[in-house]
Parts: sequence; C-alpha cells; structure tokens
Amino acid sequence: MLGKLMKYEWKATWKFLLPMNLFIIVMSLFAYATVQLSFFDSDNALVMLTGTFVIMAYILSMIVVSIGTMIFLIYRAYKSTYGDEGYLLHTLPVDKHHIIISKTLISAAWVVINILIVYLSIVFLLSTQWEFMKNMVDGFHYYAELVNDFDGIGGFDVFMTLIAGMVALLAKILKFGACISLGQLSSNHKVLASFGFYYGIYFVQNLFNIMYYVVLAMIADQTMPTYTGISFGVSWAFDLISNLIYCVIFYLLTWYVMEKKLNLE
Amino acid sequence: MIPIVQCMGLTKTYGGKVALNQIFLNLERGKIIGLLGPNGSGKTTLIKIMNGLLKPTAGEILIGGARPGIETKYRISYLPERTYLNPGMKVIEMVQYFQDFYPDFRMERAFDMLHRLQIPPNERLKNLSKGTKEKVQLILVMSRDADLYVLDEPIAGVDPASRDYILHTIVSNYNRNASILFSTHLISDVESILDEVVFIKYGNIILQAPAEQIRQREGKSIDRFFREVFAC
Repeated sequence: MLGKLMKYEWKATWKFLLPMNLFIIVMSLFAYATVQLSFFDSDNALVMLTGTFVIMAYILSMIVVSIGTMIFLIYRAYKSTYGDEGYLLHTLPVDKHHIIISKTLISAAWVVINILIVYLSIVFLLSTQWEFMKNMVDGFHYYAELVNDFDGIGGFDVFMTLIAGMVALLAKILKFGACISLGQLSSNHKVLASFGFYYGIYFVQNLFNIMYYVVLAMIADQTMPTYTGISFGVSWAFDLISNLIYCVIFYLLTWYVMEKKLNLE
Repeated sequence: MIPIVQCMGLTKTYGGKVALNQIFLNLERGKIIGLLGPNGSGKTTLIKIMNGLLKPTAGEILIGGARPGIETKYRISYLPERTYLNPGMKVIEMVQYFQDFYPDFRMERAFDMLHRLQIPPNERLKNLSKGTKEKVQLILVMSRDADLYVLDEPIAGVDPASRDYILHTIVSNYNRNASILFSTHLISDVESILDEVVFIKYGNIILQAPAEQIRQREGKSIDRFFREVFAC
C-alpha cells in the first residue's frame, strides 16, 4: 500500500509543483539571454533597465517558488490529512505508518527537486562568466588542499555532511507534520495551535543548538591546530544525530495523534 | 452470527458536551437500517466512531467483532456527509483510486452507474456540481462488495428526480448478507426501503425496532411518528 499512497501523493502534487518549478528554468533562460546579449553593457538606459528587471525577476522567482513549494506542501499535508480529504485517507485500509512515510518522502522529493533546479539554474547562469567560474573552481581546489593539510576532512566527511543534510530535511518536514497533528488535539483553533506548537518546538531546538555551540567552542579552544577538521567532523555528526532524534520524535508524535487521538470533527 | 456493529457503553464527549451517552446497540447483518434523529443528536458522531475517524471517550465499538482499524476498513464502505474527493482529480482517476485500495471494488459496476447517471468519467471533480459530486461518491461507495455500508445523508444534496434512482441503486447493488446503515433527515424518501429503525436523541438511543412493527403499532408512517417524537 505504501507504493500506492506514494503514487497518489505524487499525482496530487506534481500538477501544481512541476509547472511552478519549471518557471524557474524559464526565468533562468531569460536571465541567461540578458547576460549573453550584453544588456548591461548597452548605452541605452531602457535596455539596461530591462536587463536589471529580468535579473531581479529571476532572483525573485527562485525565492517565491522555493517558499511556495514549502507552503504548498504544508497546506496539502493539512488538507489531505485533517481536512475533508482526510475522511477518505483515514478510511482507506492502510497503515498510519505508510501514510506518514509516503507524505514525508514525496515532500522531501519535491524540496530536493526545487533545490536542484535552483542550483542548476545558478550554475547555468554563471557558466556565461568563465572567469568567475574558473576562480570559483580554483577556490574550491585551494580550500580542499588547505583542509587536507589539517588532516581532518576527507571525502567521507563531505559525504556524511550530505547525508546529514538529507536527514535535516526529513526532520524539518516531519516537524511540520507533527505540529499540524498536535494542533488537532486542540478543541478549537486547531491551525493556531499548530503554529503555537511550531514556535514552541523551534524555541526548544534553538536552546539545544546554543548549548551545542557553547560546547563546541570549548572543545575548539583546546584543540586549535585541528580546529577545522574537528569542527567539520563534529558538525555533521551533531547535525546527523540531533536530526535523527528529531525525526524519531516528530514521527512518533504524528503517528500517536493519527492512531490514538484522531478527531475529524 | 456476530452482529455487524456492537456498541457497549459507547460514550463521546466534546469538552463538557456529551455527544453520545453510554450507548448499547447491536446492528444485525442483512438489513437496511435507518439511523434517525434531529441535528446534533449524535448520528454523525456514532458513524465517525464506526469508521475510526473519532476516538470514543469511553466504552467500546466492534465492527464484525473487531475494533475499528485496518481490518474493519476493508469491511465498511463509508459515505461521509461532505465531499472528500480531491477536486483536481478526474472521475475516472477516482474510480482507479478505489480500485487500487479496495480489493472488493467492482469497476464495471461503477462505470455502469456513471453511465446511467450520465456522469462523464473524464470530467474533473471541480467542474461538477455539488449534487453530481455526491452522486460520484455514492457510486464509488456502492461499487464495493462491503459487509457494511455506512451512508451519512446520502441523498441530501441530490435532486428529487435522481433520488429514486439512487435509492434503487443502493438497494439493488448491495450484497444481501451485508447491512446498510442510513443516516438521513429525508425519512419519507427512504422509509419504503428500511428494515429497521434506530431513533437517536441527545446522544441516547431511544428506540430500535423493525420498521414494519413501528408502522403497525403506531398506525402511522415512520416519517409521521418521527415528527411526533422529535417535535420541538
């Protein structure tokens, strides 16, 4: 049933999110053309103004689409789980675990697609600036050599940082799901209660982060020669472990409300 | 044989308000049962608990001997009082959706009913009128071979001309070993098909009896009797 739930979750989201994200690609083509046609070197003020407008619209499209993708996913999670469509979802003969996993994975897939489109769009635009790209690549090489000298960071650390990033994304999505679910426990003002839970959890998470950085600063103070390596290694480890714990907590909270406290009034 | 529905001291409160008050109720198999009561009497609350959409405050409910869960969702075909279909989907996609999730769904039956009610399968739900959406939902629900059909106000939004066909559809499309629980205000429209009647008032079951027995004992239709019992 998990596969079927994922199939229909994808179907329910792609019609809106795919065109929205493709809009970034369209805007990056316009931005690319503006740079290639040297709008900014023109003597004509109107041409320069058009170029500026296109670049601003391009940057704005990335911001709006990225935020819009998140808002749509949160709204969809609420509507399909605790809104009218929840009446169908919760009367399907499926495990609540499968409902949570399918929604989380499809949401994560969309956020990753959005990040990749934004990233590739920027690389595409910067490819017009060969000198800039070359300097950037040289900069990366220099940084890689520098950190290798410290003997602290290797390919494994970079890989684990990516894994930690993915787990952080899952934790964020599950946090939204948990807040929406916890809001349902309120007899009135369920949406308001969800926001309340979100900011409460946000506050607690920030407290833990501050404590972590204080401890890290103390460790770094005693181990200055390998500071970069230790901070990098400790950083992904901390992110990975803390977000794994958050994933488990938020997942269980969502499951608990769905399984034990469901109240579609 | 185990009753299809067993309520034992079933209670539901919202804050301090009692929606269901220690209900004891058994519903037998193979019957069309009318769950009748005025607004706020607890009909929808009872139905939602049967379907696992609400958790009882106290007491227990069993569907075919099992607590509401995955197993009972295979047995119950539920029509809520609201539109629960994704408006962005086409009718044919919803048929496929039911086919994917319910092993007892009969696709040919669904298409036959869609054809008879002249509902275009390739139309998106958001383009259909409220009444037509309700018809689509009813078709999907009645195209299953379930043990229990729970229909919450199934004809409320449907025009009178279609009601007869829908009631005929309900009666002719269900498995004879199954039961239908019907919640409605439109008693005169459904009275002729009811085998049994349950009156619910302020969260209490005040009457459960065969429809024919009530008509004979009271000497009047169930619609008339209902109006007297629940007169304001």
